[in-house]
Amino acid sequence: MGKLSIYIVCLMLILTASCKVDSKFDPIINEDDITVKWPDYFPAPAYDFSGNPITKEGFLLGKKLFYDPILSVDNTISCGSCHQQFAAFAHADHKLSHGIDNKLGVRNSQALFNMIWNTSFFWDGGSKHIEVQPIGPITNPVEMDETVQNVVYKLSQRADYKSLFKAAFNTDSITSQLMLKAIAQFMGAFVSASSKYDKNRIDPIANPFTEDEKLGQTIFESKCASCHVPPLFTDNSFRNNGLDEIFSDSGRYLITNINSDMGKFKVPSLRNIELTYPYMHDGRFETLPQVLNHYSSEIKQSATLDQSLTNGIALNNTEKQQLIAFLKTLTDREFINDPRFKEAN
Amino acid sequence: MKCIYKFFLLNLVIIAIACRKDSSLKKETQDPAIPKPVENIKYGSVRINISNLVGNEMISLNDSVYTNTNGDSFTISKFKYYLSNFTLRNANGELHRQTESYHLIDCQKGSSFTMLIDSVPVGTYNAMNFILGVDSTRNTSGAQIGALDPALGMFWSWNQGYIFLMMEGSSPNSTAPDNMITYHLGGFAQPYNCIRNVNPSFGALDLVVTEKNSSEIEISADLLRLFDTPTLIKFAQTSEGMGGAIAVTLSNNAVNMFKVIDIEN
Ligand code: HEC
Ligand code: HEC
Repeated sequence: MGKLSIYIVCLMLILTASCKVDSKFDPIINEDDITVKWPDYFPAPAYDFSGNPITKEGFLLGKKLFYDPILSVDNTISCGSCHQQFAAFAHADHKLSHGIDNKLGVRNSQALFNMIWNTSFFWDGGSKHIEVQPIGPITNPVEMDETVQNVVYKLSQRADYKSLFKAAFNTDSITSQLMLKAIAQFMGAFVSASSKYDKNRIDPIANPFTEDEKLGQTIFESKCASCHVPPLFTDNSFRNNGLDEIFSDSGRYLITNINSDMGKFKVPSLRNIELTYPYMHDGRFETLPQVLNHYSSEIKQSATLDQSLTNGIALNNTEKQQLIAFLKTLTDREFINDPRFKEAN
Repeated sequence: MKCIYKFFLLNLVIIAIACRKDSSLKKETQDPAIPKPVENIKYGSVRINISNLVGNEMISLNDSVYTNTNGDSFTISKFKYYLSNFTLRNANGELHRQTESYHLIDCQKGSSFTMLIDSVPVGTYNAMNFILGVDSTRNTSGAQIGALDPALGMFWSWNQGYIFLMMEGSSPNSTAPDNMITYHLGGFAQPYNCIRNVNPSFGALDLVVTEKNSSEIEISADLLRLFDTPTLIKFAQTSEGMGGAIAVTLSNNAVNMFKVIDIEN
């Protein structure tokens, strides 16, 4: 029984301190409040901070690490170099990511938000957990080209980090685990749920859609929402949406080695899509009209093409415009201006 | 108000789940395993010593030239692997599982050849089991520490998960650059799951655990078996394996590296 009451107290503490399902989701941002909140129409997150209770100190340490080029081999590139807040933490205007020595990556930098709902990370799902995900970019020769061991060493040589780790985790020893948990506290707090779409969903009378937005939403629901499932606008699955006949990047196959996964990529969220151009895993499309032309008339046939796309998605010009009007309601200016996530200067 | 109510409900649900988990765990440890610490049960510890061999010789990195069963000569620059989830079984079939049982054996680090299983109920045991590799749960539970610290270089960064066994070296038979031979076994998803259970037989020997903490199990790990039992590996054909089908074949072989050579009580 004693055990049970400890459970209750712990759970109460964890839930009150770190995350909240909020039926009257209040997007007003208080810079000192790092509580992770989301509206009640969001599903339960995959990562709930229960093994990594979010604290102000942990969050601020994670933020410092995210924006610190110390994580790269020659101290020139930070996570923030390729993930910029004004672009919803994608890499604005870069088809393929640029890393150390300006080496070109093979993929388009992903936007970062609502990641506690992700069941995997990267275009091919090669990472299964938000905490260990940063080991990818830190050690990738075309990104930060470092080793985890050396990053931990560099951090432990710095007095400022020593006291920040002490404040966050009450320990004198800096470990990869604590570094990764701090980054997870920071990135995990990126919740984008204050777009016009959300405001309309919570209170359609106070925040009405225009006629085009409304019609666009109807088209979206019948033609796109099977994969880009609201409210997160992804179903976390891997699919081939007909970009190629022959795959220069095998996508999900690289992870599973299963033939039926050839050329499949993670269905990306479409929240903030207006800001995260260029589009697709290799950044091949610059604009939303190009993306819609792809779906309406450029679908390439291949063995793994998603069945629902075999004949493309019929869209006339008016429908395309309406669809784009709806997609733009997914832009979350409060998120991209949220001072809690801004690089400190 | 509605919010608080919901919040309370959510708590209740989670508590219910937590309680369920708790009771099912209890069941698991009672039956068939030995009940958890009770006053009148006595405990001892068991030391496990691993000898890493090529045939009958202790492995010496870099300089020594060895020959595999196919007749290919080779040198070894790295040989390391995870052993985890050690379990001992007594004559009644009762199990003692070590908790937090993760060990990285690294030929570069002699201190890694010895492991301790503690809090073992006093008694006579006649079988053991361990995993070569890391269970899938720990592969997907976020940032780990100790033997599972990703800074130890046994973590794949893009297809994330632990490398269960790493063997690198060179052989004149290898056609890879610099005649390298490189085998990184890992991956925990079907059909390329490389997690393997190992049950090296105690033979006629018994492990007697007493409060004197004096029992030791001597295990040999013969690298030659990685390349011949049951599948013969020819370096000319297979100079590299990083997950996938080759890693599965090599993992099936790797199980046969381990033998209990002695037990001291
Ligand atoms: C050189 C540019 C670059 C740097 C530096 C970089 N990233 Fe990325 N990031 C990318 C690219 C490109 C992808 C997509 C990779 C892929 O799919 O293979 C990505 C993907 C991600 C994802 C996956 C998002 C999702 O929804 O699956 C996360 C999270 C992430 N990066 C966080 C970080 C963190 C944390 C750092 C710093 C430790 C970092 N990135 C550094 C370019 C970069
Ligand atoms: C069969 C599932 C499926 C359907 C239906 C679908 N998509 Fe996609 N969508 C995907 C996948 C998978 C990707 C990523 C493909 C890649 O990069 O290789 C994607 C990418 C996108 C992107 C680029 C996102 C980015 O961050 O780069 C946009 C924009 C997009 N889809 C819009 C739409 C619209 C609009 C519709 C409806 C007309 C639609 N999609 C229908 C699966 C689908």
